[in-house]
Amino acid sequence: MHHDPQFVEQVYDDRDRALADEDLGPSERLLLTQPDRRAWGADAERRQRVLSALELEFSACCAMAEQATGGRDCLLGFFSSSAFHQCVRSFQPLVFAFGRYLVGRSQEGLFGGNKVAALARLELAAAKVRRTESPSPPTEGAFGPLVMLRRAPWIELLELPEGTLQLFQAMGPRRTAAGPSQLPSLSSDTSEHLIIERAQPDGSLSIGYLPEALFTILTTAGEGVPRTALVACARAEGAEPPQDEEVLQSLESDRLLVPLSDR
Amino acid sequence: MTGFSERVKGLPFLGIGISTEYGAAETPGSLEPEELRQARPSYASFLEMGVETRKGLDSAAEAWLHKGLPCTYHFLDLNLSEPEDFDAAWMAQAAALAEHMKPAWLCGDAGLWHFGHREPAQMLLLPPILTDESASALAEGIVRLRDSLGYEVLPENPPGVAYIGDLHLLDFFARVCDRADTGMLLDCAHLAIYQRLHEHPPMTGLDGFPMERVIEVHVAGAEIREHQGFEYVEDDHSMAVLPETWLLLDQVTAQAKELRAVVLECERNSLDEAIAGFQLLEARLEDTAFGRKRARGLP
Repeated sequence: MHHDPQFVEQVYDDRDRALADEDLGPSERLLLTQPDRRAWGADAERRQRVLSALELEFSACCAMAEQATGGRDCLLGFFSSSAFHQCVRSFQPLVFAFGRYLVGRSQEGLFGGNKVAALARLELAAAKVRRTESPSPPTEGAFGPLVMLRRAPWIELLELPEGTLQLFQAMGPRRTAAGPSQLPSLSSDTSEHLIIERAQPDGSLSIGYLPEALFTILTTAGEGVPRTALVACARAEGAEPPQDEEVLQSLESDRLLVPLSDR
Repeated sequence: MTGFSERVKGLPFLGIGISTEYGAAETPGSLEPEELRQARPSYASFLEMGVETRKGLDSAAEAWLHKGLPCTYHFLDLNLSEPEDFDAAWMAQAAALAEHMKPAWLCGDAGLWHFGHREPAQMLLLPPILTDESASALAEGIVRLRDSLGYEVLPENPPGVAYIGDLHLLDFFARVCDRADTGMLLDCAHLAIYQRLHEHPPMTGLDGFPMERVIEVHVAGAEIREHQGFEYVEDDHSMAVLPETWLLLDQVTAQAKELRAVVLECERNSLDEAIAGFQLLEARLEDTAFGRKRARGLP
């Protein structure tokens, strides 16, 4: 209620209806309407402050969305969205809900089209990697054929329209969207494969291109598959023996594939 | 565990002090703790360090500690009433900071410092839900933190513009203090804001409050603001102290026999402005048990 003035109006107008989805009894619902209705909006800058904090991790897509829509109202709409309310209920990081909101709205064409959607997916993935555990030290020795391997938890894989990373980098460290005609355009029919990883030892992020074959192997690994399945996947992607084994060993030594037991 | 009436004997007398938080002294025009200590050491007998574990301590705080000067640890990122907020990472960081700081005690606004996750975009400060159930949850958190870190944990009444619950703020904290068997940091400015918001006379509820548990008191300035015709008070730490805040200070210091520390929250003011505020504070405290102890330099 401190963030969403529309919700405040709904609660004061009909609290049972507005709070039907909340785990609150009648007396608790009544308590929520005790304060002066205007008190909830007294901190008029609250939403702007929170949005500014969120924008730190979504600077590129927010800049582009603002330019496409002519202001920040499209972004402030997040606080009245089901994504925001669901996040508050479910104890999830707000940045994830905000990222999903941006992806969803831009895919609906509300925020200026596919560039915003692609950048939102990229920045949401980066936000996830920032919150993962630090890379663990490598396991000693080679893995046996039956060991279960998984994609490392400190990486995110993305398949995005070709040109997305170039666009992101072209916006510079300040992520300005000035002059959209000067920015690279995105392909509508070809894609690029990206990897975002948390680098050792400082935990900073790196974003780079990933060959499609490696993207497929890492995607196949998912939450855990036998190593033999990944060798077979490498072969299906065109790696003949002994290259198939070398590909796997390379992914293992780079800590992109890790034993499931490392979890 | 020993009861609070016994444990309180081990708490040091700190006198008059100031508060700070990460980076506060670097803001142009803000008070530099060491500058005040050099100019008027008796107004900076200790430093209350506002701490977010993810930020740690700034250079001004580290310099203070390096000189071996007294401090308290004021947390800015723990929801005492939420068990899930006591995660292992936070507890380890807080323990390490406490070990480094060796504070006289821990204290902090006993409300919500964030909603959901402890994330930059989710930080705020809301008062607690003023119900009996909430008082129990808060008390459990205080005991848990005290037992884990080995320091007294003094809950502070937070500021707010929208309070929810069927208890008066002071009745609520009386229950918290009793159930956690703890001392209290009573913020007179926050209390004045609450009383004014509810159109209560300033002293409402003090008669039933266990004044012997008040270990620390805060005083600060505030600004009266308006939103759509709704008048409220912003706790802005200016030197414009509300008249009722001074009256509350007088009443509390007259009765709080275990009072150990008084903070004038003035970190956003110039040195001259702050000194003028401390002089007013000192004069109000002069003829109290706290003022006499302070004058003698004795605990």
